[in-house]
Amino acid sequence: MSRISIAVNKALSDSPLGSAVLKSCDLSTNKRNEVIAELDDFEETRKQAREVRQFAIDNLESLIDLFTKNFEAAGGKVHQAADERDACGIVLELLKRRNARKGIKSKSMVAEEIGLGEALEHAGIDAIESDLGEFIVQLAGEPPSHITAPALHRSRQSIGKLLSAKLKFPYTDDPAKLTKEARGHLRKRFLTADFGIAGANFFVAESGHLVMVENEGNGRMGFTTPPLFISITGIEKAVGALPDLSPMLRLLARSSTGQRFTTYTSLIRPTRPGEDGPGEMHVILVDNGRREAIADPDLREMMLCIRCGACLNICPVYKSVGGHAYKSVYPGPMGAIWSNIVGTPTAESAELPDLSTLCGACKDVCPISIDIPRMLLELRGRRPKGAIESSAAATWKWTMSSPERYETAGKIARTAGMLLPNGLPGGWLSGGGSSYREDAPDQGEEPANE
Amino acid sequence: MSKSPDELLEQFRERQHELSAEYIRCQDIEDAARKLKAILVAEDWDTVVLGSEVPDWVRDSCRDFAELLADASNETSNEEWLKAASYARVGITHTEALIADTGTLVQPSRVRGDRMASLIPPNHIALIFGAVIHETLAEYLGDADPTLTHQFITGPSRTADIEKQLVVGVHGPVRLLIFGPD
Repeated sequence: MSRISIAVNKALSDSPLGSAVLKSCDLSTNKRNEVIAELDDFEETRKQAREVRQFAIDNLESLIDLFTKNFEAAGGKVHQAADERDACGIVLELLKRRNARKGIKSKSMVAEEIGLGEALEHAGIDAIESDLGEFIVQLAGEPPSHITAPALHRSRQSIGKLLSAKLKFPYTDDPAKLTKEARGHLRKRFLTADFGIAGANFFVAESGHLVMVENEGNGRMGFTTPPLFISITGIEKAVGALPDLSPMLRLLARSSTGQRFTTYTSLIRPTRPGEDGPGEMHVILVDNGRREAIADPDLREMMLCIRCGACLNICPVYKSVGGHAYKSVYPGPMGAIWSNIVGTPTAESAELPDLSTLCGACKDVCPISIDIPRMLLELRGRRPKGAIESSAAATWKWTMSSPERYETAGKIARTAGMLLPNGLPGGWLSGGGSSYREDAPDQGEEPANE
Repeated sequence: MSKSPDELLEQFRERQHELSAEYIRCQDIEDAARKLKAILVAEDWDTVVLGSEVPDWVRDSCRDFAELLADASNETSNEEWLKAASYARVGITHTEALIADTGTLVQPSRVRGDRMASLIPPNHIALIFGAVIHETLAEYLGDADPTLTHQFITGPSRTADIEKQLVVGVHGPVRLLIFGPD
């Protein structure tokens, strides 16, 4: 059995994990549906958002150049990193130059992708995660299991045990009390950190702004209190001008957490003289396989992704196995493709497109309407035959192991309008199958967001 | 048809309740000053920092009840500001613009203290008198000064990282009070 199959089986036999993930995902999807339903112009906004992303990918090099020019004219510095090693090397060099040893990190999927945590640890640099979910998984010594909710797989009892033991306070499983303890612990670090590191949701070419979307305030802290701030993001996160942010920000929080807007959305420029904020600000734009994907006509569409996580929350497979079963920084439907684009794709990442029923719910829920099932099929088709069996078998076992799971998957498949006459969702076991919703005969259009 | 300024303000106010923020309705500046003093006393918020462009009536209201630790209108070093903001019980800031449909405060960072005052103390009072009210983010972005850092604040800081249960008050303020027109 492959590592993916083992991980899937392990996840399936862990019923508290299954119920924690399922509950959280369904809650997120329901909240998302409520705030999306408020938008009279949802489809129009979605179309605009896709156009903004498409423009960025079609004009990426000139937008990167323009952003670099504007951010640097304002006193910041833009670095380009070809791969993981290069990106980590730039961070370490910047820290070394300032003798920065103690830092505070805000959430960044790209930092996870490039293995920055390990690189910092290896170099003896103490960088604490400050997003509550990331802080929890860092203390537990495990990777995040969701791109926007890193500790989604953990119950509050397990978080209570972990935090009370590590931060030394009496056990509680009350989320408010646990949050207060973590706040107190991390606040000390914010006030004394030599550097802050964070991700960025977008960068704006024409104005030279970085855009950071968050709820806790740790992101704002990172570009306010430490003297050095380093932002790490993918090259594809460009937008042309400030007004282009409007459709993006209108859909991002709604799709991600079911909020109309996140608590804090910051458009960040390098600190001006007489302002508070870091005296030194850097942006590292990471390629790590993205340019190659842009040049690939079949995978280019994936570069439109804004990492909202809605496709994870709605996916019947993700909801049953959780993020760790994917053995990749990026789990879920988008992750099954992304993991084959960034870094060095492995035999394991090649298996990830199998962790999908191809029900099409991911495409329906995507704020950019990315055709994820098409690319999953494309990646399945690119593999040598034979690599498919183990994970397909695991997927089958997963379906049959619980009537509730089967029922859930069936419901979602029906919502997406692609259940086949025999009651099995199309593409379920097909490995290189072709029966996803657009190919399914005579199915009613019933978007998952309604 | 676009909404009137009164309708937009009403929408903005409605959002605050949903966001766990508190909207303090003020008849006029005298009423606002009275209510500010009452809150400082009732909550025992005896240490204050002020962001830029905060009007003098706020300083006057604070004078007898609280110690003014830092004021963005005066020259203060970064280190002193950080120390003051982390000690203060409340930060009071001016708001330049509002976005009605999301209930958002827009506070660009202009001088030292503008980032810290609304972020570091556990309580934040935002004054919205004279703020330009927009219906949507798109309207604001169309005219936004491209040279500034823009902070959009929508409710007090929050997380749902533990079993998706909402907890208000993480790294940013635990309470957000908005002083604005009745």
